[in-house]
Amino acid sequence: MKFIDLVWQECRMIGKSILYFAFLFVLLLFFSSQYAADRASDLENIASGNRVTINQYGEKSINPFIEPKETDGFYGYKMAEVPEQVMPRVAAALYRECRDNKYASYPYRFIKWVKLGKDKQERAEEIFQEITGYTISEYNGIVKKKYQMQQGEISENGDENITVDNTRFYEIPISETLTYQQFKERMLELEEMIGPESSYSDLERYGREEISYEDAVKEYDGLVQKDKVSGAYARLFCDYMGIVLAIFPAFVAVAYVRRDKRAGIRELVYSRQIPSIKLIGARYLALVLMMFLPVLVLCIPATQEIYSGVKLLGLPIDVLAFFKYSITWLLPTLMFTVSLSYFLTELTQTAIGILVQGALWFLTLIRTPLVGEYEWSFFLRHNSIGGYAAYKAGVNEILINRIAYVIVSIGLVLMTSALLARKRKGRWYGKRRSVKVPLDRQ
Amino acid sequence: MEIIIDNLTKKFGDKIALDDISLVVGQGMFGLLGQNGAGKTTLMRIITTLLNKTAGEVTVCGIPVEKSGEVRRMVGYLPQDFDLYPGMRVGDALDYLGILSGMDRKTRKGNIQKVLRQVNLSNCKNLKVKALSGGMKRRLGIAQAILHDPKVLIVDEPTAGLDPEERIRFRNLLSELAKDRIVMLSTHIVEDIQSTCENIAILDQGKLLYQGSVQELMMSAREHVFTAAVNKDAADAIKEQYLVTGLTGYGNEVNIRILAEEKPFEEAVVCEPTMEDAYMYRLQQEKTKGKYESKIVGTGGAAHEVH
Repeated sequence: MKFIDLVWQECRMIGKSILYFAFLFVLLLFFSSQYAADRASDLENIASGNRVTINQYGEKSINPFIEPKETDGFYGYKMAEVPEQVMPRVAAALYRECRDNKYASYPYRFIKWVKLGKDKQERAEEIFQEITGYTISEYNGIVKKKYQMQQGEISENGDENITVDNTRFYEIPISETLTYQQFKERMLELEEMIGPESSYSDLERYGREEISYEDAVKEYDGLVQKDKVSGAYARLFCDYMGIVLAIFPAFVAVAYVRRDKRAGIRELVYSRQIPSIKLIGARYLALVLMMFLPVLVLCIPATQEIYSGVKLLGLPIDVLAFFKYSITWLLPTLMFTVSLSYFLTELTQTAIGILVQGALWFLTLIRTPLVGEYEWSFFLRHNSIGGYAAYKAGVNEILINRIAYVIVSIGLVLMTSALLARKRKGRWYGKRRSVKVPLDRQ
Repeated sequence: MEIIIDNLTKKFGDKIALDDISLVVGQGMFGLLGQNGAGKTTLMRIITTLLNKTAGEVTVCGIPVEKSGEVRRMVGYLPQDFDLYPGMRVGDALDYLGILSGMDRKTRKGNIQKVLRQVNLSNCKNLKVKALSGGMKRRLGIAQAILHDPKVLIVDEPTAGLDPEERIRFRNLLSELAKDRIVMLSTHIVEDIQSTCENIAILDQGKLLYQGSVQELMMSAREHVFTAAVNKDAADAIKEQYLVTGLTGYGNEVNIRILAEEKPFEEAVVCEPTMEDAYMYRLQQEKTKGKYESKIVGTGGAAHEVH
């Protein structure tokens, strides 16, 4: 009972701190701007009730919540390196970047703009000419003409030299003599000049091909039967919330642990009867509870939204999916973030916990793929709606990973308690510190 | 009900903060007097289990300080730099510290009312800590220290920075609390000790200079305190030669108070020593005897501040 009272008091104190409100703000921001944005188009699909819908560009798209029928004839797309699609799209990307000499690359998952030197820029322009047959300035003229035509300023016959066809801005026709092998060689050359993860790496993403009926059934089965719809969204929810819980609780925890020192009441607290394990345990529990409760609260609207969407289609839904995934995926992440920050703050009485946590967060973010490879990341990435097969393949990894982080977290809490117990007996005083202080306080 | 300190030594690296101290503190008010840096805070922190000792034994009501959990249950502590979470209400702050002292909800509720009444802060229960004046905060400090009804109350420099009225009120409060427990008061303000404590100890540079009653200490200074009315120039010369504890000016004449082994000059008249005279005389005596070893240096309270 006394322990519960203590946890409650600690929760009240955390709830009044400004940093806690900042944490809530960031959590809500991620929820509304990231997760909500991703699911918006799906919910439109759910409402339409048709398996095949036509998007704003006049292209077919699939409503994944409607069961595919063999007679549909179209079952959706998957990424594929189809040369006829890849080359014109990559050429369009090259035109835009080469024209401005501003090339995007993502060496650490974050955008980096690259400006090429004179020689390399000239070579990039040559490559554009080699793959399209146009120089950059010639193609500038085409774009200008197309724009003027769209504005009704000139007619199609207004130019004698250049024929403006239906070429869209994001596709540029490729020279007929260019083979795909030659094209790829030039892309490699560009990648070397610009750096890794540029617009000329991973060409598969520029193309797509239709999937088979069997694959469509598998996908539907995963989403509706296995995941009961909400499971698929719960993983996406956990992906975004995990990014927040892997770093921002460190700020709250570090500030909270340091508040005794700031308020000058450490002696007062340390001289009380309470065992260190109980004190640390209560404070740790309060921090975890206070930062996990908002996540659980967000599970309610997230579930409600999916539920109201799919009930029109009469699909089954797991109403606890968001809660289950949050507890198994997110709670260990939060536990680890708080325990590591707590331990480092108790050890050093500095804010170094934030730096360490920030470095871990950053490294994990840049080294972990968006989906899969769950092994030892302290927060799990699954930035995809559905992907049941990938999740299923890694479920054992996830299990081991999560259990390991819970154990490490408990270990850190125990170490923090042991550290505090020593401090409370005055056994943690650096020689340097004791010599430095003036002689006026005994 | 006693605190027994037996050959206690505390070192910080090669610095000796307490040097072979032996002391017995019984029920009632006990004063620990000493200059800044004498080792008072170090001694109190050892008794409150916030600091480990290098050598010797310390028992609090029969429990050795190594059994920190049991000792903490019996000890209430008001540290020198007392403060609480500024944004917390007085009642909540006491409730929180009550939980940390292992008190159940019912006991906390009753004791909070009781101690607030004792320290005359009953109407401040819902005020935020930051809204309290310095004196009120000190009284709140006592309230938190006696909240769990400890057998031993340890207060470190409690009157520093208080105005005279608050200081008197505070001393009276401590005397009241000392009726049924040990109250150990550390201070460098002699007046605090004189008006409240029967028994005292004097620490200087980690060594115990005196242990006994205030009366005995004052007796020891008898025949060694003198006054004289002299002119200002003569007063300057006397200050060079003797330890002067008081100087009151009347025009060109000053009334000077001198500590000396023998009558310093013809005009000097023996007078009754005050506690301050007796304390200063004791310090002077020890220095004259050359008992100190220069290597013994207190390292200062802040050095041992709990991290």
